[in-house]
Amino acid sequence: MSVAVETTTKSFVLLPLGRRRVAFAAESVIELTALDRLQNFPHRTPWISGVLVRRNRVVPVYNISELFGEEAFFASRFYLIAEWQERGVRDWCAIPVAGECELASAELSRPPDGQASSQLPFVIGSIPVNGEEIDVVDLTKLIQARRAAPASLRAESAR
Amino acid sequence: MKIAPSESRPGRRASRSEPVILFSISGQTFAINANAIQEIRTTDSISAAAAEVSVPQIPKVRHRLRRGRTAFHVVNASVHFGLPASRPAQVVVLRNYRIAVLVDSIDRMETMKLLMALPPGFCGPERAWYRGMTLISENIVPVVNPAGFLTEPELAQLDAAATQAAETESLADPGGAVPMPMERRE
Repeated sequence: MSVAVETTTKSFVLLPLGRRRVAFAAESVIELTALDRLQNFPHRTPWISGVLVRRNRVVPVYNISELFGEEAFFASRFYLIAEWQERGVRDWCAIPVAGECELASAELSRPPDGQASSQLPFVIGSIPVNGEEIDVVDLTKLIQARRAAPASLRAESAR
Repeated sequence: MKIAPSESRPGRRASRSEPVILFSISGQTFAINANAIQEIRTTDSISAAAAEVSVPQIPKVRHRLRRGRTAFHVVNASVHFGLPASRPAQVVVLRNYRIAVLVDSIDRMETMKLLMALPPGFCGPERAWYRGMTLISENIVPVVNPAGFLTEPELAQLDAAATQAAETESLADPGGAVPMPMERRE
């Protein structure tokens, strides 16, 4: 007799980010696209470096160093277009990526209740990939965390 | 990876066509609903109708412009949008807002067929500055919100300063206000 076992294995997209890699749930990733023309207009949202037009929609490009507090060591080669949502409204954003992205299936290890993984509220857990523990980022929580941070902290983390 | 479902962008676009005026400030193009504009003049042609004002908390406004019975607060748009200093040559007088805007040039009139909402990731004052964005010749052009140039508290402050200045002027010079040049001082 066989017994059905519920697994929590999911697909994740791994992308290089500065010196490390992070993972996003594959279901939040729309596409990986070649560099496109970045357009800009005046605004004061520090983590947005411009906008792209993709599939007839305006997609903000999120500045890696502002968003994650990581330096971008290499010139970007692609944009990862991902979806996030807030109060039922979904939106796309583009994250510049330098280097290769990978698709991996793994089981998400969540931190015990009440504890934050990596002390970052937007890291919802980690996945093991080739012996490396890779932080899994919830894009919605990341954007909300940056938005909630006081301007002085945002400037500090960007330095 | 997946294609976003169609419900992911509910009510975020307005497709009714609308006449817009395209104008430039420091090399950046903006659009504004043509019906929101009362008149467009060169700075030279109306400098005689302008008086200097000084409200240190609102450095983007340095002049007040009288058109008929109405006084308009003149907003330097390059300061408002945080763009590099420019030499404005045109004044766009807005309808219904008691605001005039200094811009570098008027480019042309266009018909805007699509107004796209500002993506929710933007969370600064730009949410008040713009009604949204439109695509013109494959370029993204922000569509300004006429009410976004000055907030109600700023208007109240400017009105109070204008009243105070008028009282001072009438005491010092019963003949009237002294014309002021409108070019931005470097």
